[in-house]
Amino acid sequence: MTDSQSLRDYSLQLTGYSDKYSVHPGDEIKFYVNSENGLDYDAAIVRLIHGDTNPDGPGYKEEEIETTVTGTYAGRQQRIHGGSYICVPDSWSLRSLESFTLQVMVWSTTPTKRRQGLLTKWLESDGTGYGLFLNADGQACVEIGSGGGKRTALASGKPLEEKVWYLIAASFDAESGKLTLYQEPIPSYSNGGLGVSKVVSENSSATAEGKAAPPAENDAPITMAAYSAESDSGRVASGGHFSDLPAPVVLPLQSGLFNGKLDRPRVSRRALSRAEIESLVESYRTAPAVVRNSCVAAWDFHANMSSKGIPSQRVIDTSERHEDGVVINMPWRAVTGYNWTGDEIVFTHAPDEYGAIHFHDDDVDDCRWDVDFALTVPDELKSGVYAARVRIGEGDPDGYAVETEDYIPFFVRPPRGKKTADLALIIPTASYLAYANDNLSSNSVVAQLLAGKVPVMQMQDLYLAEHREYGLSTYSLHSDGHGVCYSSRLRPMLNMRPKYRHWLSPSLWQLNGDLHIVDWLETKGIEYDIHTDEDLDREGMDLLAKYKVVLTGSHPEYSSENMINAYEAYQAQGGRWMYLGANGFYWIVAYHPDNSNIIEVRKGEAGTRAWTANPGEYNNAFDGKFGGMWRARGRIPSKLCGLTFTAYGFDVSSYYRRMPDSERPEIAWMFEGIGKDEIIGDFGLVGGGAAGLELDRYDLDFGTPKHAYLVARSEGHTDLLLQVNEEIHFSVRGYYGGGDENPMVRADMIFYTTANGGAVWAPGALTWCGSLSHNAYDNNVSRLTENVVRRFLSDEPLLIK
Amino acid sequence: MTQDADLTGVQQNLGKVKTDEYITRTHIVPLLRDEKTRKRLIEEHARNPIGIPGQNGQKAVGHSEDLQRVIDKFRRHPQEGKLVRVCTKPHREWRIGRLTGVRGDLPELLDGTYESEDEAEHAIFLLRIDELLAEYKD
Repeated sequence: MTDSQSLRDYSLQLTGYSDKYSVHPGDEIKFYVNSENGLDYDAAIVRLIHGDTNPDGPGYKEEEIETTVTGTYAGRQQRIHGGSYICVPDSWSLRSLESFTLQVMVWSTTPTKRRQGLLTKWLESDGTGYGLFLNADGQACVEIGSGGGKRTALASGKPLEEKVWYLIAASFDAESGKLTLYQEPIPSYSNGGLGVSKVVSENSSATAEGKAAPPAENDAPITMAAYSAESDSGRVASGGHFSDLPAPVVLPLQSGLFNGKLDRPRVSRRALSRAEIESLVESYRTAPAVVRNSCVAAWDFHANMSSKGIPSQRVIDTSERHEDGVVINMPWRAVTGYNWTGDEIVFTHAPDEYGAIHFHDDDVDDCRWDVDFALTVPDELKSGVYAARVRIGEGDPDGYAVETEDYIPFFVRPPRGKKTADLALIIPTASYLAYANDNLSSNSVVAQLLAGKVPVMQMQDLYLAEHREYGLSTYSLHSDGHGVCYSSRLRPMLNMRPKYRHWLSPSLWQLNGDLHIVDWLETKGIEYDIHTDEDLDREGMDLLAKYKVVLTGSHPEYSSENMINAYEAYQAQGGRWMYLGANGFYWIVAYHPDNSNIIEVRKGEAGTRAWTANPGEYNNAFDGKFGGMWRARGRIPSKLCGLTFTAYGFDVSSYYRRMPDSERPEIAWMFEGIGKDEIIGDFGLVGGGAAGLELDRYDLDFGTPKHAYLVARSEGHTDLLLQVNEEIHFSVRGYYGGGDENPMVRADMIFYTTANGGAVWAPGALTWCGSLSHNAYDNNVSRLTENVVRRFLSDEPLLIK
Repeated sequence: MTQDADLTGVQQNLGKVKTDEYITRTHIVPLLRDEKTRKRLIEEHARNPIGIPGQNGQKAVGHSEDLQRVIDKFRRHPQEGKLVRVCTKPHREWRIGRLTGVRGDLPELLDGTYESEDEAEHAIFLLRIDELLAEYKD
């Protein structure tokens, strides 16, 4: 290595995503590929079996499938236009204004980060149009571009305070050329980050006057929370979560991204007085007639809110012109507005106090790339975990060619309505989305403390550190310090790949970790059907009812209401459920009702989490219901599966000891081939043990069935493993400590029967499945798991009389 | 904005900064200044940089209290200037990087390569001791 070598010499050449995660034979799936330097690449469909490249284990396994996809493709760079904003299509009335008034309520989180568009009909490429901005010094600013290079900018002279609501407005009279700008803080008791008595008007409030020529016309859309660098980016919003748009919307190339909230934007066709501007703030309907008559557009972002939330991407113009627009890149809706009083903290109860939208410069809903190739899933393709592998060159013979290959995973189900096995593995795709593209190895100050080590950044992490437009995970903070609650899979999820090693885990996490289960089932010759969380959310008990045995992944942390309802029904109707992980069924997920590629998670005041939602913003936009932990809605996980999340720590794992219940004669089948005093699982590919990373325990106070058996428990954890914060009322030394002090830091392996011949078996640890392959699959973790699977699949009684 | 000299204690976050310095000076620096203790901690870290899984009925092994105190101080370092490991060849080669703390920046690579994750972890530990002692030189 030379001294001057930098990370520029290492860079991902290929990134990609697909339009679907889960397909049946006969379905078409589209793939979108970015070739960073425009190099051509080879593509092939592969079946993923074991994603763990660790030489201490069985090694990486994939199987190439011959399909029409196999071949070489012309590579082209495809970029993501990240950052959320509103686009209102260009219209005659907005384009042709000469005199005008613009007004909007503004709550800025990063006032001096850059020049930021607020409410603009502006085209940067030729400097024409008009708009309200924050200038680079964080001051409210009105700009008019009159054509031929003539631009006038009038600024307030006083920077905005962060997280304080302002009325920002500008009026322009074409005849006199008079331009006026207003910047007025309007703090109330509840609506901002500074107390009412702390916002000093003379520091914050300003009126400025100047002269300008009328704006020149352009074909840019009205762009809010950004401005248009170009009118047409070549991309269009339509379909999916844009289901209520009357027509596809042509998108600009956005720039000048704004971080913060906007509320009640209005455009009028003459210079309104200060008093007239204020009379139009609350609503178009209640403004005086003389003001309404000159109003061109008055968007109320809460106008299409209902008791079922506001999943819509449409923004409504409440004037007679109906110049509706669309939000792009999924900013937060259902957030407190300029007039929030705090009397209501649920947006569906007081929509007019939730008329704001919180924009972020690193939001993304859909890359909107062009298709590179598509696959019609062959009829005979076995259900399993697959990927489109794209690669430049030969790849590394050792299989390590990170920079020149990417895998775009997808899941093939059995033929529609059928099953091809008695056992189903439900892939926890909601949880994959929740962790997609996290940036914690470079941006979280507690990452090293969580992981118990210095994070190892893979090439994918480096790419994500640089490419902020790839978006974030629900464990991230946006660049403005506020939490990320949306995750879309319509973008390359670079940390959800085979071969990828995750910084948090000693080795693998989520998708790649779950391939340990797939590999084990394959090796043991146990037939399995693959389905995903989204499938379960849509089909519920209809899906599960087909299967004698259902397995979860290693970390099914995120669940929708339909999913946990289905698991309840499955148990009641005699299903045999193996919960093979920990921290399951913990967070409430809402799928976008029109696009299951996008999830929402609002993390509130409790829970093992990376951020806390702002006051009043705990309810999901997607369905209107309280977000956060399932236990807050009366559904603590132990009510569902007998176990509840108890502790976590990511340094090293430990082992299990058998407990007396394991010797009960009625379940003699369970530990067949395993000695009474045998230490179970002191080996494994994830932290070196079967009990680690995240642990669950039973709890009779929280719904564990009274007749459940405790067949094993873990011990010997380090003091890096600590009890979950939602259970700590007073923080006291000596009670809630780590694995060397606190008996709640443990994994409990339980078994219980349910009605109609059903049962649940759960080892209670995230790392259980990483131990299955030890010693060529000949070990007591594999033995125990196999005993349970085979018994559950059989017609033998689960309790021997 | 006012000149730096005019910033108040609250604006400079001196409450946190000075208390953190106090804690470091009182509880951590002495462990590293004392030659015998420093040597002991370095050897312990070299033997067991991250932890040993529970095996054969024996508990998992973390770090001694002194080493924990020092390591947790290193791990709570702010993002600006924080060290990370970078995997340049999976299962074969690692390097040390330094973060700038600015979103969108890549870490700056330090010279040197390491053949295992543990080797890189230990090298970082040694670097951090030197950096901390240099910072608290008086």
